[in-house]
This record gives sequence, structure tokens and C-alpha cells, in this order.
Amino acid sequence: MDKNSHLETVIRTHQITKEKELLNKHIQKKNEVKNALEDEYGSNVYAPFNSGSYEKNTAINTKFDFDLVSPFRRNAFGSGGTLKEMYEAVYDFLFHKYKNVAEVRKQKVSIGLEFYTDSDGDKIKIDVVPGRELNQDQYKDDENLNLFVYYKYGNIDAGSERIKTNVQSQINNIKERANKEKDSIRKIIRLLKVWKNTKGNYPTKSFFLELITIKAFDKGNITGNLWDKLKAVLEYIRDNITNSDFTLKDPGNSSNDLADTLTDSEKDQLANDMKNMLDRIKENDENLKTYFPENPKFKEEDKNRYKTNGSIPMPPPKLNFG
Amino acid sequence: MNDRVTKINTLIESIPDVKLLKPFVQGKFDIEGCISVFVEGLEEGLNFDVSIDPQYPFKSHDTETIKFYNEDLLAYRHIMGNGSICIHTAHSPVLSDKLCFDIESVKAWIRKYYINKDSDTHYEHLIVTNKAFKGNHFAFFFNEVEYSFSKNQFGFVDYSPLSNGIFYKDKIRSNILQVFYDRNRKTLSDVKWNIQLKFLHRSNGVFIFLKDTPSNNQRWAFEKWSELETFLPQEFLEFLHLVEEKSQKGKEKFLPLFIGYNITEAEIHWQVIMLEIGNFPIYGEKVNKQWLTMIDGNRTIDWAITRNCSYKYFFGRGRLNEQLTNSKILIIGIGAIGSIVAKTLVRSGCTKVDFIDYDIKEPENVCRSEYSFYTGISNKTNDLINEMCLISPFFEVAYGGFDYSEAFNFFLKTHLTDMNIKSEIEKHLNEYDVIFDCSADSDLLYLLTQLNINSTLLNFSISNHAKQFVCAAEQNRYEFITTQFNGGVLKFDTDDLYNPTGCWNPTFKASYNDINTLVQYALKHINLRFINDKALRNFVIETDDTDCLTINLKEF
Amino acid sequence: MSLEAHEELLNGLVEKGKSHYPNEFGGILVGYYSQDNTYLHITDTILPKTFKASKFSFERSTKGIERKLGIYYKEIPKQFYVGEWHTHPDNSPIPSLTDISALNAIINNQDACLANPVLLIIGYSKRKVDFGFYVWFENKLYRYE
Repeated sequence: MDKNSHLETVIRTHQITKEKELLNKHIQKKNEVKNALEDEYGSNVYAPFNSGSYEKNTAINTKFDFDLVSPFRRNAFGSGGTLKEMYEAVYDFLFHKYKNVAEVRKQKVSIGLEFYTDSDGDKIKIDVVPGRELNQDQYKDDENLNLFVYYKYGNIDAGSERIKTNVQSQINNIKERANKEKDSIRKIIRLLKVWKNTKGNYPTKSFFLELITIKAFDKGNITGNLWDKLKAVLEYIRDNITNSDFTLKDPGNSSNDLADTLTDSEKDQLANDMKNMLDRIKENDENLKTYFPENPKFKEEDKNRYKTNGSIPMPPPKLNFG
Repeated sequence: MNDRVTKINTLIESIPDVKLLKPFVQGKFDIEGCISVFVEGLEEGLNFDVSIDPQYPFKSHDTETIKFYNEDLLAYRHIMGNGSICIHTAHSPVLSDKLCFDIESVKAWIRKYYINKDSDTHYEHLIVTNKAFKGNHFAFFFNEVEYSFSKNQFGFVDYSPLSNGIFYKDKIRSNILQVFYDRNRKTLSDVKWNIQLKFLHRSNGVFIFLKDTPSNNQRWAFEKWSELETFLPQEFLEFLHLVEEKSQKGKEKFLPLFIGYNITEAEIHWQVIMLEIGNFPIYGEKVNKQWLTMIDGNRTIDWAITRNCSYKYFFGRGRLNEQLTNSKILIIGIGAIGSIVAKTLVRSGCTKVDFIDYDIKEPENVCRSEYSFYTGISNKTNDLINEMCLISPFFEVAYGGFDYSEAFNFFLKTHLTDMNIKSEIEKHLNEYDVIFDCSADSDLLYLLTQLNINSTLLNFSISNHAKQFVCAAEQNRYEFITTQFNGGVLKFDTDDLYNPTGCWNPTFKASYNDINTLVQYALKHINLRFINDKALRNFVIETDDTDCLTINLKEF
Repeated sequence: MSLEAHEELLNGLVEKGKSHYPNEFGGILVGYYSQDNTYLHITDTILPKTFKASKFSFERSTKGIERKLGIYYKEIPKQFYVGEWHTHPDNSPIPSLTDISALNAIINNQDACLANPVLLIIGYSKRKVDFGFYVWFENKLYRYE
């Protein structure tokens, strides 16, 4: 089996352009929510914007990651208002607005809107991230926001108000690297997202995978073909993530350490998953397909032609029909 | 005097702190003598009559063949009714060594229980002499109930005979306690057991909650009714009298009396006294123009055997991690693998386990699954429910009959395109904490991946000759299993299959031992992941039998 | 992509299917592709020697089929296994999820070597017969018009 051509196929079948309609649905929904927030909060909110992977050019078509950041003014919830009050108020607003058409959930730093399956069988998911400028009117100048941590987030306690970041520079940083290093960083990030998706609800955030990929490229001499590069990044994660002095700087605020978003046991799990994956692929190339599957919806086949794979076709021994 | 006796006398005299008070002589069977044993802290040595059986230094069954008696020590702990102290010592086939070990144990007993008056942290039950009652032994099993009895509360109970057995050389009848009623037959509390036990035929008994232990020194249960006299209120004796009169008409020849008492603040223990109908140890006496019910104090109390079979004792010696035992579990496919999984879970403390399978158990299935020949041809689901009910009194099955399996299959395979039914199925499956799919049905595997299920879903399958065992535990289960089995990753014999006579569908070849080894290995791994609170990953267990058997678990 | 099957063959399948009423019945389809692989000609069927069936399910074996296929393969043009057919008594010729899953199994089976298996479902009742021809293509099931 040719590992490189398989990985290339995986990336191709996960191209976001293959799901134009679904992407448009997401964009449309995102705009709807954005308008709703602006209508509700008027001049108390700066323009909400998408910070998801679509914005960063690192998206895959099986999970769109639409994160709508809503930058509120310092006094939007009263001059003495807390971040918790901001979070709760936005949740209440979204809950009442969407409770009949979506599952509205409190998440780590965001509020999740999972719209009920539409007539095409599609599910749209938008996360709203409420943030607040540091001082009145300061956002225009520095784009810095304070976020509220609702659930324990790695080593960051629930109720913590210490996440201060600049989402815009987070986006720009990753977008720039992903665009500049299309064949390395962008491809590896997409592959890691495909892998993460096979795990269901994995504690490591996409943002974390994006940053650690970039760090791996910055630290090591990563060259060779696509598999070589992917392997090097997996090895980098395996060998470094559990080191006590390992840090992952937030491009939006250099004093934030993204390594804190995972608990020690979550880091162990991540390192262990990398180790298992590398070992299994080393034992048998075919196992690569388990970790990095093609999107079955877009498996590549010759257009409008019947196809057999070589030898005499034989019916499988046992088949059930209903 | 024979050599053995001389040797023992010489040896005893040579052991420090031991004095030979009366030299050993050969009795009819035993060698008997009297010694004194001194340990620091005593003013003078304690005396013991010693008897040594012919088997010494070997044990007989599970008991030591040397006994140290002193009836003055009866009030201390770890003393048998005949005044012999309980010692458990090291093994030695050499008489001299063994004798030294045994004397050391006597010294240890003196230090621990005579001088320091230690009480062990675990509770020791009253010692009840087990005698046959009218030619039969009786055992009664009880379970904790959520009811707090008050002192001297009495009433009726229902119990059910389980089965008859042989107890050493006698017959024994085992029974379970079913319900507590007050004296007007109003239910106080139902005793929880599995559904089949609850349906057993019921008989009557009575109970009284004494609160205090029916014993003088917390060690031996009373032997005579006279000792119980002060414990039993007149009101209760009158109740007994009425019960006896009414029971005369019934078929039963005896009536069990359950005596309850606290062994800790929170825990009640029950002992049972067997009463012969028509011959209760009570009589009427006119005192000051009034009839009183009196106890015939000279009569011996006929104690039966009782056992606390509540969950914590029943599974006390070992069970799976709580996260599993507390889970509501569904097993789809109960062939070789599924039935072994079911039995392992139920034996290891899981109580809520449902089954789905629409296959029929045939005699030829018995050799490598958990079914019995005795039950003949039967739906696998119904048969396994029976098997599980025989094992665990706590097994609860909510769904699992054949109809349920049929309905499940029909809905899953024909109606999944209907969004409403799909979400109903999802809702139903999400009620389970853990789902084991042991069906090796690729259709089902595919369909399950189409559902939005939050339960822990584990797919088990095995290759021919039980060469490999595959467990899919993650979202990508379909790709994983397909790659392993059809993608040429796993190497196993695909030709040497077993073709049952008269059936066109070949099956894999492997014995109960082959399969069970791997299933247990897998379950142990899964249990360990639960204990350590770690995420479950897909895994493959590979065996290599080129030389010694090696089993290797690879996590993905 | 197109497909052709003789009426004679189809009538034969209906007859065979009806003879198993009220249970489902089916078999495998034999045929060949045109030179440019855009056109499929279904020529014949091989019926299973052993099978399990109910009103809502049909499970076939391949006992003896391999030998028969060998004979078809020697003909000119070479004919081979191209798909499956089965009936839906008292029902429409719409594939169930089990059917879709069966097609998946064919595609994922290395020996099957078929990328685009054809599925023919014959829905019938006392009064009418409906044919549904389907082909698996680009991970979707398409019905022939």
C-alpha cells in the first residue's frame, strides 16, 4: 500500500469544497445567529466573527467547526458585571431564542447550538464564544478579549476568568502558516482533524492540534513526503506532550499556555494514542486506513463506469437482504 | 510406650516455656497429655489438655489434628464449644517442626486473645450447632431489606424452598426468605431476589426482631429454650400459640421462626429456629385466674443454618469495577462469545443485563458456550435468562425475551430510514450504559455506526481457531473491523471451518477453552480501563502458539 | 451508465420469487459489461442451493455457485457475477438498510472485486409487479430510470 497516495486521497475526499451545500448552510446559520446577537445587544456588541477552522483554512468536510466569537463591550452587562454574568446572559438569550429548533448547551468556554437534523438529514452546529473587551472601548485598539470558563477546561478551573486572548491574532497566525505551508502544515492539520474525528468526542481541541503541528514544524527538521511529515509530527506529540516543561503559547496572548487546556491524564492519553498509532502503522501499513479513513461519501471512482478490481468477481459467501 | 509417644514427650520437654504436666500416653485413637504454656505477661503458664490424632502432623480435611483444650477459656475469642482453641498454623510434614509451629500458635493465641483481649475487626457470627431437624438440615438465605424493625416487633414471613441437597451424610433443604408481614399480614417489606426466585412457591413462617443477640457471651447461640425465655414477650408467645393452632390444618409439618438481632448499628442478622407443628415448646398455665403461655425451658432449641446473601456478601470475594457493575448493560448476540460475556458479568456483580438474539440454542452449542444440555432446544435468550437466574439472585432482566429480539431486529434493519423510528431506537439504546455487540453481524455493525449512541459500545469478534480477538470501542468501528478482518491485517486460517451436519452455514472452529481465554483477557483489560478511568480504545488480542502460548494485546 | 436485461429472464425471476410467497427469495445476477464499461447486460441468474428466508429477510449462501460461475466465465463474452436480486413480497421495490449494508459488504469484500454491484428488487403483490434496479456508485445508491 502506498501510504502517501492514501493520505492524499484522504485529504482530497475531506475537501470542504466537496460539501458546498452543507458549507453554505453553516455560513447561513452563522449569519443568522450573528444577526440575532447584534439585534439583541445593539451597540453593546462589536461585530461577531467566525474563528473556526473554515476561517483558518484548516477545515475538513466532516466537521465544520464554526465558532462565532461575540466581542462585548466592557459595560455591556453593567459596569460591575462579571464575566459569568455575561456568559449566563448570552446563554439565556440563545436558549430562549433557539430552544425549539436546537439543542442549546453550555460548553467549556462557548455555548453550543446544535440544530435539529434538517430535511436533508444534515446537522448544523455553531458554537458561540462570548468574550468581553478588557476596558471600555479598548477592543478597537487591541482586539483583546476575556473569556469565561464554564466547565473545568484541562487544568483551568470552572469559573475561572483568566483566559485573556486575542482571537483575531489566533486566526491570523494559523491562517498565515497554513496558507504559506500548504503541503506541510495545512495537510498535517487536516489529517490530524480527520484522525480526531474517528475518536468521537476527543478532549484535545482542534486549536491545540493546529498549534502543536506548527510547533513541531518549528522545532524539528521535518522534511520528506507526506507520510514522513505526518509521522514526524505524531512522534513529536508522542515525545513531548507529557514533558513537564512542555508549553504551547497562545498566539493571541503569549502568557496563555494551551498545554493547560489538557489535564495530565488527557496528555497521557494523547501521547499513548500517538504511540499506539505509530506502532500499529509500523506493524502493518493497512492500519493507516483505520486512523485516517477516506470520507466514504466522496470515495473516488471513475465517473459513470462500471468497475471490477482485477480477477473474476465472486459473490461474498453470506449476505442478508431485507 | 511406642516410639511416637516417646518422641512427642521428649520434644515437648525441649520446647522453651512449655512444661509437661502429664506425660503423653496412647489413648484409644489419640495420644493424650497435659501441658502448660507460658508467655510473657502471664503470671503463670496456662494449662491445656492436648490430644494428637493419628494423622498428625498432617491435617484432616481442613482442621488441625492437634487440639489444645481448656474449658475455663470459653469466654475468650476463637475458642470452640468444647474448649479447644482455634489455631491455624504452618504446614510441615516433619513432626518436630510441626509441633514447634503449633506451640507457637498457642502462644500467639494467648498473647492476642487472652492477654490483649483483641477483638477482630470483622464480625464473627454466633456459633450454632447444626443438627438435623426431623431427619433434614435446613438452610435459610436472607437479604437486607429497607425497613427498620423495632425491638420485639414480630409477625409472619413467607419463604420459598429452593432445592434439596446432600449435606455431608444428611439431606438438606435450602430456602429463601421472601416477605416480612406484620401480625395482621400487612406487608412490611419484600425481600429482593431475581424474578424467578420471586415466583417460587411460598410457605409460611414467623419472625421476631429481638435486637439483642440470643447468646450469653456473643459467642454461642442459646441451647435451651429457658435461655430465650426472658427475650420473648408474652404477647409473642400468645401469637405463637395462635399460629400453631391455625397451622395444624395445613400440610406443613414445621414452621421456621426467624430471630433477628443487630450485629452492628446498621446490620441485622437472622437466625432460624425450627418449630414442629403440634409440638411447639410452649404450654398454657392458669396464673391468678388468667391463662398465660409459658415456655418449656427444658426443650433444646433446633437451630437451622442461615446465610446473609445480600449483594455485598454475595459478591464480597471479588467483582468487577463499580462502573461496570452499576451499569445497565445490553448484550447483542449471545452465542459463544456473548454468553460467556453475559455469565462473566453476572457472576462478577453486574445485575442489569439484557439480551438480544433470535437464534435457537441447539445441543451442539453447549460445548463452547454457557448453555446447559439439560434445557434442550430453546430460544437462546430465554435459556440464558434462566441460566443467569440460577447464578445470581440479583440478576434483573428488563428486556431480553425472544419477542424483544425480534422487534429490535425488525426495527433496526427495516425502519432505520424513518427518522422518527431511528430516534426512538437511539433513545432506547442510550438507556444502556454499556452495549456489547457480540453478534459478529456486519449489517448490525454498519447500522449501529449510523446511530447516534452515547452508550459505551463494544464490538467483540473472534477469528477462526480463536487466533485473534478483536474489540472495537471507538467511533471508527466499522472501518477498524473491516480493515482487520477483510483488509488482510489479521492472518488466520480461512479454510478450515466447521460445517455442521444439515446446515449450510459454516462456523469458526475453536473450543470453549480457546474462546473463553480470550474473552476473559479482553474483559480484564476493559475492566482495568474502567478502574483507571481511562478511555477505551480499539484493540486486538493476538495469540501465538508456535511454542509456549503467548497472548499479546495491542491497543489501537 | 446503463443496463439491459431480457424480459424473459425477468419474468423467470418473478415466477421463482412468487413460488416462495410469502417469504422473500433471490439469487445472484450474472452478466457482462460493454467494452467501455458504460453498459451492463444482465444475462442470467444463479439460484442459491441453500438459503434462509422469512417475510422480511433473505439470506443466501454461495454453495456450488463458484463452479457455475466458472462455466459462465468461459463463454464469450466472459460473463461474471454482477450483483444480486431478491423479492419484497407485498411491498415496494425500495431497498432496506439491510440491503444497503449488503451492497456495502460486496464492495468491501476483496474477492467480490465489484465496485458497482447491481441490486434488483422485485416488489410484488397479487395485482402488480415492480422492478427496482439499483447500482452502487460513488458511495450512493442510484436507481436506474
